[in-house]
Amino acid sequence: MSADKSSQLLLGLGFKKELSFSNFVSPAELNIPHRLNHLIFDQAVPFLYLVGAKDSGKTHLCSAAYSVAKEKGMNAYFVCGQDVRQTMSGEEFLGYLEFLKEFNFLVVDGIEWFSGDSDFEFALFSLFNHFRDAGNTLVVSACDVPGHLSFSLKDLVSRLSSGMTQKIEVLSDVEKKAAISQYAEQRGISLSDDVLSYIYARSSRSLGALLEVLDKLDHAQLLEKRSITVPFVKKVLGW
Amino acid sequence: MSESIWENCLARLEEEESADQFGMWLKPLQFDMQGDVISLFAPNRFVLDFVKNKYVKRIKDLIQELSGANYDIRLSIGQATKNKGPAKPLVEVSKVTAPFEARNSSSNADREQNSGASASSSAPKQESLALATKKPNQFSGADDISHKSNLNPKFTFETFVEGKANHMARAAAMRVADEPGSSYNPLFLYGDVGLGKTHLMHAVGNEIKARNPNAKIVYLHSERFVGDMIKALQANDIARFKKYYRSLDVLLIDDIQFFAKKERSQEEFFHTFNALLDGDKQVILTSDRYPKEIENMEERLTSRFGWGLSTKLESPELETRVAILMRKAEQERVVLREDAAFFIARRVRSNVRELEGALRLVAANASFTRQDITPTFAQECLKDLLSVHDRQVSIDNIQRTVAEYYKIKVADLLSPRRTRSIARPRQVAMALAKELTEHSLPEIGDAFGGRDHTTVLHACRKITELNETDASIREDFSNFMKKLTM
Repeated sequence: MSADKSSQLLLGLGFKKELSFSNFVSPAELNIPHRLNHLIFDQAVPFLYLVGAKDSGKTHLCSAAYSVAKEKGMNAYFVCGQDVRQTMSGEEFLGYLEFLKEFNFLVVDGIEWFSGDSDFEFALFSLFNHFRDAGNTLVVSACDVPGHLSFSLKDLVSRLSSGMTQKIEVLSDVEKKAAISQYAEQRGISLSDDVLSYIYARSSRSLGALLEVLDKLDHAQLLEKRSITVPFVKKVLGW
Repeated sequence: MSESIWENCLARLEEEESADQFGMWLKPLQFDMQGDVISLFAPNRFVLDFVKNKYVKRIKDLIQELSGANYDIRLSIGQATKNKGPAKPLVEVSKVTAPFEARNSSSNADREQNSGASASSSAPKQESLALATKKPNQFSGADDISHKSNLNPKFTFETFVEGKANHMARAAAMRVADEPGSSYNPLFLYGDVGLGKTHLMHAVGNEIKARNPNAKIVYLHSERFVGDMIKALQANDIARFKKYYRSLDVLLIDDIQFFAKKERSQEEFFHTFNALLDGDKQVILTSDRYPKEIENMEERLTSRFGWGLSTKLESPELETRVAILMRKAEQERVVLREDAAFFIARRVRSNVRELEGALRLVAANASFTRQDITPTFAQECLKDLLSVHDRQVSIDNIQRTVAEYYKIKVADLLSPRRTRSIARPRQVAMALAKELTEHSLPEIGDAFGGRDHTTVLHACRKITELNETDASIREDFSNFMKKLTM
């Protein structure tokens, strides 16, 4: 893997609900999970901003942070920006602020979903202020740095810019192949270069999609007790 | 039969819980029953999680008590399909899932943003009791309106880094701390985001508190004032709200511009404000703009805001930004070399919050990798952040912005013409290019129609000189800096 990237592998997708720091792979020299664990729980940074493109693993890391907080007995809560945006109006969300302010560790995954709506933006602004003033922990993730999200509330942008920012890089194609291969090996699956290239050429190249493919192949292999070949992949995946 | 069980259960819960709690968490639940399974549908995850954690056991017990049977209670997000067989939940959630685990039933990889799904009203926020009535603040709706001072002890005059950009504001704030309620009342601090308005406000509060520990001082963000007022109205207790706010010695309200369009809050604040000033109590307000420029604010309020002293905080100049970084580093016990501080300050210039964010990032990386903070190290750590600035500030962008501002053509800036109406904007643009980009002077000269680097140097010196002596150039330059870097 590239030495200068905080690349990682999201393990267990589709197989386990446990998204932890321990099953998030990143180069040893960067060790993003360790770094985040250290920042959030050892240094107790009050506000952490995870930034990375789609498929970079922000949700995995947010979930892992939430899990650790719960394990440590903190009053933690996880908010998925997309879910919220799709299930309620900004005005309704404002009504739940007091509920969210009761927690002392809040993760908001995907704050870009709150941009472009004054109520959602104000709600996030209010949450930020509350968590800062109360000395509680707020971890957010977004697809870009604050200044590049479409927030119209400047006060919110400047506040989001004040925190500790951690960039999460998406794996390159070569790194993804290597990561899938590595993950397959960990599960006792042997993927030849031909098979790997075949899958990579036909599947969506998002890590999540690739791991779902691996999941299907794993199950099919267990049922049919066959080695994974290109014809087998064709049959299982209907390609 | 089944519906009546639920109705009876709800009736009991309504008796047991406050109206707010009941209205927010229990009333929205929809009921369905198939065999010995009762399905309760929550409108969203917040309701689901709250009910799961707080009410499921009670609901189960009540249903057992009312029906004499032991039902399996299942909670999910969705809507019950009345009289048409079992409803289909939008998200199936078992009784045992934690909040996010349930959500992870779909892909855990970062999801692609669906612009269609996010099309939502961008209508301005409405201050309405309807919001409070529909979704009351369940945890504190009827609470006493009581605050701690909310003062942040870290925000003092000692920790405030003074520079040209904030000298006046600091002096005024110190005067208020010396003589609260007498001079500069109200003190109105305004300026762009992240320039230290809140810090100064807290500093005054802390100073007054240090001298008079019994002083009733309250700092709050304007939204909290609005929130308290709504709660008081809900609880039919506005009299106590008024009494509380009018009994303070010092009221510090941040971001007063958020009162815009909130007529009821403005009305209430107007009276509170008058009562405090009449009693020689100190009021300090902050806003992102000059009082008269706050839109959708009653004129009687904005004119009163101007009764005392309105003072602006400007963006800090390079030296102040460096001093801020050095001070912050010292506070955080971070060893920051001055050349590294200069590097960061040159590249992050929009506001103090961004400076803090940049320092935090660099310091964390240094601590993690056990390296010294050098300019090169800082550059590496901040490359993503800096690339954002670099993308925003190019010579092309500067030329376009300056030309548009002075209503001339970009071609004029690049032309040999030396008339004053062209030459001055060209000098401003060159000075901005030197200030905001990493280009060398010869490169800047090249970008301006192949001029010599000495011409660029002359332009920069000229603009520096005019910044000291010519208010209009100073304002133009400041506007450009803001426009190009925010």
